[in-house]
Amino acid sequence: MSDANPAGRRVSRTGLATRHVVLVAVTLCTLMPVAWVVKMALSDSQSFQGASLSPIPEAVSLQNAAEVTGTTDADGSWLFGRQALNSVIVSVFTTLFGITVACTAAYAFSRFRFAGRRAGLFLFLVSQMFPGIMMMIPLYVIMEALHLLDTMLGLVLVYSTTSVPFSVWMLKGYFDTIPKDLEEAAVIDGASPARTFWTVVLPLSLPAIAITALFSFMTAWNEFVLAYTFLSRQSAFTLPVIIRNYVGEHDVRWGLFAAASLIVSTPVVALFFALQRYLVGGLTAGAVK
Amino acid sequence: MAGLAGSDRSVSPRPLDHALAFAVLLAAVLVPATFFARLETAREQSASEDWRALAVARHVLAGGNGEPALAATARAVGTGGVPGLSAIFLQTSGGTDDFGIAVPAQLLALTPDGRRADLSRDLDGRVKEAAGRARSSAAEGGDGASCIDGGPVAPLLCAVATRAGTVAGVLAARQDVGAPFHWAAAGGLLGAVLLFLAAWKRPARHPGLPAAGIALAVAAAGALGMLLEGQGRVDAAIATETTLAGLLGAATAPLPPHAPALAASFLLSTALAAALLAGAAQKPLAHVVSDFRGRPFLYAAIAPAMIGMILLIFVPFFMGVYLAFLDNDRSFVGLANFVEILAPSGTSDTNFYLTLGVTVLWTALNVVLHVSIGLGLALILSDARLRGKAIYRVLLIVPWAIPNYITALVWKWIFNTQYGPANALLALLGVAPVDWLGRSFVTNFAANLATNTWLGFPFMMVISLGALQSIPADLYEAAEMDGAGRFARFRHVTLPLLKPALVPAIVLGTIWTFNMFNVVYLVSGGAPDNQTNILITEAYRAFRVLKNYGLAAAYSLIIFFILAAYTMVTNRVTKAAESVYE
Repeated sequence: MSDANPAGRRVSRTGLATRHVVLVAVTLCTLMPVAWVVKMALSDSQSFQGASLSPIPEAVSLQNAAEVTGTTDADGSWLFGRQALNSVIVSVFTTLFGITVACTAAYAFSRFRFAGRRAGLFLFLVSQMFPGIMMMIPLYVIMEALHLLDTMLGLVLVYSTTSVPFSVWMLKGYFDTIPKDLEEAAVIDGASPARTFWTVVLPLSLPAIAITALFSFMTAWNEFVLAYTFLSRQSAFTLPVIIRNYVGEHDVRWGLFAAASLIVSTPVVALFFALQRYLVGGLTAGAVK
Repeated sequence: MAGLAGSDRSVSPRPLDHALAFAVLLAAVLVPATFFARLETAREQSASEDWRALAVARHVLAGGNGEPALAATARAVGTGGVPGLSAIFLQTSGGTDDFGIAVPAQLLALTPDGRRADLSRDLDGRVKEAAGRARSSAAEGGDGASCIDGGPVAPLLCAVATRAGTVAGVLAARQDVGAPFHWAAAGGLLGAVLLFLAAWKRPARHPGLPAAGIALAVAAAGALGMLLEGQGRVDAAIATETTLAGLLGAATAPLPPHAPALAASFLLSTALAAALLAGAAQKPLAHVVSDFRGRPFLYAAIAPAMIGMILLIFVPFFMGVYLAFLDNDRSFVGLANFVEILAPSGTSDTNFYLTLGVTVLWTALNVVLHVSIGLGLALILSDARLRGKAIYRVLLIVPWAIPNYITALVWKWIFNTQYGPANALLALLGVAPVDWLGRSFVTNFAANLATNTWLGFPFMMVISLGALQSIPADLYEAAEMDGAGRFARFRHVTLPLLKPALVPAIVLGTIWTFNMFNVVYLVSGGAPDNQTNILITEAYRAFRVLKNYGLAAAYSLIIFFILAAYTMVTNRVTKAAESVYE
């Protein structure tokens, strides 16, 4: 990093101190809501009463977490486990489908110039920008007619409307950065394009594919409104739906909501921090160029 | 180096390419159209089948309770020829329990030839579920009828209950509704083959014209087939009598022609679209086809993603457009849905212009706050002598990491009148508690805005930080030597060099905020009286609350056009902006 200082090169001691004060204040504003949620999750129903600004719980209890993870349905089978499994299955299969279909297409879009290339790329980009809710109504009608409402397969198909274009763009962006020399050498040695892709490009791209897959997984894991609309059976719910239902119209259970939120978001928040530098690159690479 | 990197081939398309291009176009329009037509027919038919099954169940209920009486009824219904009937069942009431609620007695299920039906455990459970629903419907004063649609595999299950708690029901297979669909599909296939042969024989000078003609003819044949299917069914379906003969007569009657007529009109109108499309897009598409044909690897590489996109995005989009022209009974209403949105009358459920205004205000305020906070923090953080900037950076992007539906619900709690920290803070300052999410537009909007600002500034901060770090330091030194002050350096060095990164981020941020469903839906929920709703949440309300699919689809289409226009304008602007600095 250069020692650029766009706002002025000579900064006094007091100037530096002012900056720290501003940064600490903003950071506090950023972290307080998170601290409150942790407090809410760890409080039991007795000690959590009335409004307070303090982020420190008065008594620590795992009662909420136990209640959230211990839900059972009428037959006595473990409901939370089932719903967590639903979330995992839907996210994993959405990711697998998106990546499998996108890999070769992204490579073709990156390496070959052909009629219809620009139009195709534009379609992928536009479909990524427009909101899922717009497609929700026709998709709902179709899923209803095919009896795929309330099923994992239906939700995977619905999520694929975003995961496929997203994966194509991310992977195309990565393939663009791989030098062509290796492939050209392979072609000169007589390898077919398919063989070049399989033996030269794919092994090189495994890290990029893994990152794209993880982002795709996170998006599906965090999706709320489509799941909320397409699922009505308790045993078919994914985790975001149960979190929303703790904050119902009439029955609001903030303690359970907080505990469930912590349990569901901790893995993806960790994943996000591990991957965030790649996300920024992927988002802006196409646009800035 | 055949085909690798940059070889731009322009081979003039051969007749085969025109034929293939036409086949693709025909499939792209007619497949969704016939699919939709099939859905419509199936929907209408299933309503008719439910009714038929319930009619039979009512007859079973009237036929008497004992096994001999039930067996007689089963044989009568069986010989009456109810299509697909596999069993009838009766569950008498076993009296009432201590609370006066009817307790079911044993279930008796018979096949149409009067023998005991052997129900699988799964089926037995479903029969009891249907019976339970029918019983509770009767107890609540409803019609006491309940149908469970098993879909394509499991049988249709309908039950009727009396107030006393006796339940009768029918198990029947769903009928095949393929006839109109097959008509259209066969017609389409024939047309495609004809055109294929025609184009193969003689390179057409205007391939679009015969293509369009054939598309029209094919669809007209399909539509006519559907209409013929539907004709002559009305009279049979109307007759309803209480005698067994009359009941069976009505019960076995085919469905009324409403759906085939609608499906036909849909097919005809999309065929028109196909014809126009074939005329306009065939030539460029033929070039694409011709280009791909020489490189089979390209076909194989792109086909899976393209087929996925067509099935998952193109087909639903087409259906969404068509739904926008239908009312809730799926009757064609022309532009009525758009008129209701864009020229609202006194009875309208939505106020488009208010919502549009709120959406624009919402988007503008958010983007301004995101950019100013994000850029401000980035400027502070980019100081080389600042310590601990890595820690600040990590902590400041926490809001971006948290799933946004969770953030929205957390902020709903923060603005809770009773428990929320927002009012606790006000109390600390000696201000009376505010009913944030109550009846005031301003407080609801402010709550949404605060939530989304917290959620969105880290993105702008990270983008600005990245761009700031790539500005070479010597530019500032040169500017300083030329006597530029702090503001002048920001204005003439920092800002222009930030622009290429910041402008696309702002465009993207604008679209995200414009579509920020989760925050508005989960924090204010549109309160008060849907005033804080933005376009996207209003469309969702039309869909889920008003349950007006046509209106919601029309709303979505309007949002689509607004976003498309915005994207086109900004594309032009950003390209112009980039060319200045290149």
